[in-house]
Amino acid sequence: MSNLAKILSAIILLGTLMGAGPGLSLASPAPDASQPATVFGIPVLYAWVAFWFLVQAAAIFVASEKLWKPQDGGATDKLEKEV
Amino acid sequence: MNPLLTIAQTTAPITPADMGYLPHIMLGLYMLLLVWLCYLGYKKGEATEVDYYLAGRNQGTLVTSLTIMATMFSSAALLGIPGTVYRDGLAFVPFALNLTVGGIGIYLLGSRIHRLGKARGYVTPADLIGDYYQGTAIRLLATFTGAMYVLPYVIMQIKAGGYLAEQLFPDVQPITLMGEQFDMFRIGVWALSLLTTGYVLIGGMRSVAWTDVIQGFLLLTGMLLAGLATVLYFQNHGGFFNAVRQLPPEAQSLPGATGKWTPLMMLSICLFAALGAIIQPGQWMRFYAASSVKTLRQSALTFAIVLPFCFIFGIMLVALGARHEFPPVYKYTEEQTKEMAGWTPEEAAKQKPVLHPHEKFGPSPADTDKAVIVMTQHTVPQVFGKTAGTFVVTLILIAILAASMSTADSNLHALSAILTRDVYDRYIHRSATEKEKTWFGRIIIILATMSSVLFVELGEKGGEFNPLTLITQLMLLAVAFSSQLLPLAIDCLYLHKGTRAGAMAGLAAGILTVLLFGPFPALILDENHPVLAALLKFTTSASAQIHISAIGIIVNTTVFALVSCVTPKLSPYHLLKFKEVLYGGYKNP
Repeated sequence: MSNLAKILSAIILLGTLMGAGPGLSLASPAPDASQPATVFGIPVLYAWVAFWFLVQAAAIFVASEKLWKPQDGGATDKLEKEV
Repeated sequence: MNPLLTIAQTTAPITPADMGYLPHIMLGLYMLLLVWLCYLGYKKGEATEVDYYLAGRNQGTLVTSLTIMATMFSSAALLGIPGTVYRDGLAFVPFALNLTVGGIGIYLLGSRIHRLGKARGYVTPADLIGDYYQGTAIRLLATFTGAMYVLPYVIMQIKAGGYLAEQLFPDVQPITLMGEQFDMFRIGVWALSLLTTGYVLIGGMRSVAWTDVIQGFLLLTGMLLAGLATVLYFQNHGGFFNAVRQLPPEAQSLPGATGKWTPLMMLSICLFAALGAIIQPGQWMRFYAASSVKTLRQSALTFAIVLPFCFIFGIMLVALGARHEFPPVYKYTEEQTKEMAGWTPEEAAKQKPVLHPHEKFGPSPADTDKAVIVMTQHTVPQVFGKTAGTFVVTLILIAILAASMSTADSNLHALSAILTRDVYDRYIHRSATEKEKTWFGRIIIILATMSSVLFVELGEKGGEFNPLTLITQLMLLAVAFSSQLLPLAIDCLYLHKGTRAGAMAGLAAGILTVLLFGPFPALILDENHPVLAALLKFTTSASAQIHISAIGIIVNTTVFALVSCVTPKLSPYHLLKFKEVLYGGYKNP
């Protein structure tokens, strides 16, 4: 696995853990909070999920351009044609 | 000021009378388009099993991307999931991130499934599993797992057809046919079932995929348009996020109004259920049908970015807006009220009321699923004016119909493939001709549709036989079954460590776990028996913490690994055939 693959895997895993996992506890206001928690006027939980989505989307875009090869793993078109 | 918003000052919500015949015309045009595509698919098709089920393994990027998205986007995407956001608030928004995981799964799993399928002539998921593990029983078990996914999903889509018909044509009087009374819900259920069944029967995968292209465009447009209308509507009412900030604290925090959506629950859904949905039989067959790995790579990227975007910046905004405009209320259900009739006030105070949607949605807690429909009818005319608004509302309602049909057709088609290929072809009529096989597949489609309609009708008649009222519940249960193929798929495609006995034991354990932790035990177990009551309490409590697909996968993987350690390995020469296709030029070390 190349260094880029390791970095992108870590970013996507981090994005999932933060945006849709234990990281949500950092962003979620207390259920009995009297004032809504916001970032630039946006409810913090919504902004948190949108942010981690954008991070993941960027990582997936880079992965698709740099890592996802049409012949992943070395299988060749020739082999496919022969079969 | 946005010129569209000047209209909003005076425009009231659209009533059925305002809509006139536009819905009839647009729905008619949409159906004609489907019939035309079905005809084209039929004309181009050949009377072979591979062509009927995989469209000649030659689908390009546009068709593959949109058919994968449309199959994934069911009525749950436009009814169930927004309904859950409406009920629980922001706590359910992270659900959208399961789609980025799903997109990665399309490339990592799908490209290898495609390569093996092309090289070894597979049509169904069980073809690959059965061939790899060299067993009849494992093949049948994989077939059963696929079928357990497909049926709840078809039921869910058909039910959505009934909801939509009620909303599109609310003033149509019930009709009596052969002594049976059909209200608009039943007419919608039957119409969606018959039309979908018709084009799957005639055109096979080619028609299904081509109609998915139209349906995919419609539903992506519908999701974004509905979101845009909501934001524009609130611009004239103090701003969208200002409205969301006014929601009660329970709707702005985890675990949501019903207390279900803890971080662990969301993570288990986003990791396991997402991949389970990607390897459902209908999607798995689309990996075989793609023309190349490049096609799947492009489809995976589109899926991972476009779908979550449509959720987070589209349809979920509609649901959050609906919660502000039509706040849900806590009240006792009819059953609770009956039960509490003879209770003292102290006893009654201990009974918790249930969150019901606003009265505009309907009387049942399950009517939260109508959030997008009600909200769209409320906001769109105020943003676009009545004439254009009627057009846009109808377009959004047709998009919901398209979402239901595109998933129902894919699943009916997949069920037909797995029962024909994995059961009929192998165990009932081995010497069947290609024509006989496709006809058997068509009979399966008819039987599956009829059973699903029956289930929906029984569920709607109410009483005690209505365990799965909410669309999201049905969706997550179905995904829990299909996700049990995940450990086997990863082993076949990447690890190559498992044994046949291990795979069988793991898959059986996973399915049993899903059955045990799902809603079924509550229906059949005697709650008065102390042991059964304790078991029920344990399974209910565990499945409230972590999604049942994850519980099933954990049990499945553990049993798979342990049994594989002590049972005979697969032959290295057998594995070599797979490694050669997957890795090209692989040499046995």
